[in-house]
Amino acid sequence: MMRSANPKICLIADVVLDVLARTTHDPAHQLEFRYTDSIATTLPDPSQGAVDADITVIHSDAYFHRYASEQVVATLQRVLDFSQEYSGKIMLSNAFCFTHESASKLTSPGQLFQFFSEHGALLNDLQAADNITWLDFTKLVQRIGVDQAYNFSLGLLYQMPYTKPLIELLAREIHEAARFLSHPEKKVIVLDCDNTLWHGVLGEDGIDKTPCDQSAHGILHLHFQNFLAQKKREGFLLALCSKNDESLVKEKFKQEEMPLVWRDFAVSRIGYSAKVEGLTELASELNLGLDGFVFVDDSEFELEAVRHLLPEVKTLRFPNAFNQLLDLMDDYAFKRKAVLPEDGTRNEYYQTEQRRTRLRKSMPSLQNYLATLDIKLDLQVNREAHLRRVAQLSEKTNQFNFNKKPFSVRDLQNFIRQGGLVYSLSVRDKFGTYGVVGAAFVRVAGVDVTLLNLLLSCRALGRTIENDFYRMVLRDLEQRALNLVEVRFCASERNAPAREFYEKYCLQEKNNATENTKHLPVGHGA
Amino acid sequence: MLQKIRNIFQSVMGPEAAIETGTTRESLRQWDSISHLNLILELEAEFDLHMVPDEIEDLSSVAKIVDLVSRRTERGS
Repeated sequence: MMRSANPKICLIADVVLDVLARTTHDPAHQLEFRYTDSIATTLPDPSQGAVDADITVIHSDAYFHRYASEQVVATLQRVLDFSQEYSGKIMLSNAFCFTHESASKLTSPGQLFQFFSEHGALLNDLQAADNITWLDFTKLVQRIGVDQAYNFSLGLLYQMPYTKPLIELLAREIHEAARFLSHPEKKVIVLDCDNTLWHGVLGEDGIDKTPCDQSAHGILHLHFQNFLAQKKREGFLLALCSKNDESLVKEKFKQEEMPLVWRDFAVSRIGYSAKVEGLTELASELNLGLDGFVFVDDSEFELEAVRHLLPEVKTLRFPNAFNQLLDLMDDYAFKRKAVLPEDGTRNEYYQTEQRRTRLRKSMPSLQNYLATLDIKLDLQVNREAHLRRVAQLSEKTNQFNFNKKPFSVRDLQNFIRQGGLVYSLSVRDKFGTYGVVGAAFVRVAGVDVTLLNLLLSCRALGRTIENDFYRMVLRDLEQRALNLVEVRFCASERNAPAREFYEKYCLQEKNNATENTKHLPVGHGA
Repeated sequence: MLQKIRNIFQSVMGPEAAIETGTTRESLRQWDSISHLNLILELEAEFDLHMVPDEIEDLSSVAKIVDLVSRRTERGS
């Protein structure tokens, strides 16, 4: 499991990457360098405990070594084997496919095509492995050009064939990727309107003079809106925060054909108050932390105010040049670790949530409201198809999470193999499905069991679902003739709702210690 | 130029590294192979030059580095 904010990174490479240490400025990362003359034959065996890093970067430079395709395949096969034994995360550099005419046998487009069609299954397996992410080395080389990126004199003498500019880019890329892998991903993209979603100022230029189209002025905005539509499909929530006239903005979306429409935005704050205020209100309306927010605006003034007052928000400036827009869209703030079926429905969930809120307001009491919602719960145990979502929940859930320890799919599979029970809870109501929103991990030792974690997505909080969920887990344990002897809880800055539940239902006596466990009989509490 | 080279040495090998024209690879404890590699990277970037393997191997003293850099930058200017 990842030592979250302070990951240990091991760089295994067939070139000498120790030079990266000088360009490294992120003190949160501990780096270890291992040189090997062939990754295909000498990659260490993780099952023997040979690699204890949280993240292993694997870099094999086929261009410098002039590897033939057989060597590339052997390297990739070895990486795949390694990934199956390794419990940490792997960043696989795509330097293995960076070749040119003088390099390997992968010389012509025809040969490349043949290579990919022959080894498609292997490449697919690498792509599908849930602990492998790509490190885009070829992008870095392309950015500065091969001749400026490679230094063959140093390569021949020291097995280090890169120039200083490439080393700097590579060091930065590794650190950004490591930070991305060891922190929760962003959830909400908040957008300014004028000169960000379209060119010009709506209130001054008018609806038909603020283009987002193929014209010279509109093209950047058109690309950006298309990109945002894709991000929404990947599960990001889109929101608006703009100093504008709301009716005018709505009218713009209604009249103009643009990639995004008004209902693509889960929430909005359009008016003339400060953006800092708008962002804070959006966070409270969505019930999400500001550290999950990305804010894109064209005004340095607005961005600076947000950076100053809400430093946890990631701010990005909408540029006026296409290459800078490509860099912006490539930012790790917009990347997802995995895209699951639940992600595509997130915006819809928040929109049906507004209908739930209206219903709540029209009901005399919470009980009436909950009865009208017609909530249905479905509990599954050790359901393989749910594990990716459960892993994602273990990483992303903050408020109702007894122990914030991210589990990977592999961790969960190992846990189940050792007899553990992984419960997954799906919820739906009359407005729609919430997907898999809850999970519980139970460690089994003989008939005695320990509840290691109970977690519930904020999508499902505040509807007494947590009580029913906990009761269902207890009932299932009872049916299995297992005896719950311990419930683990670890207080964090952000899990007050979980703490309240734990103290009310899992503890008989309150205890102020930050970490404590309590014995209780099955059937106690909820 | 000697000052620029001295700054590069100290950024690679630490501010405590004593750099004089008479300093050699043997006399300077911090001048190991990784430092040498970093030194070449910095010199190439700072003076915008590219060295061939023979030149890199031959750079075993501060005097030789000063000599090479002056020759190459003069030729270029």
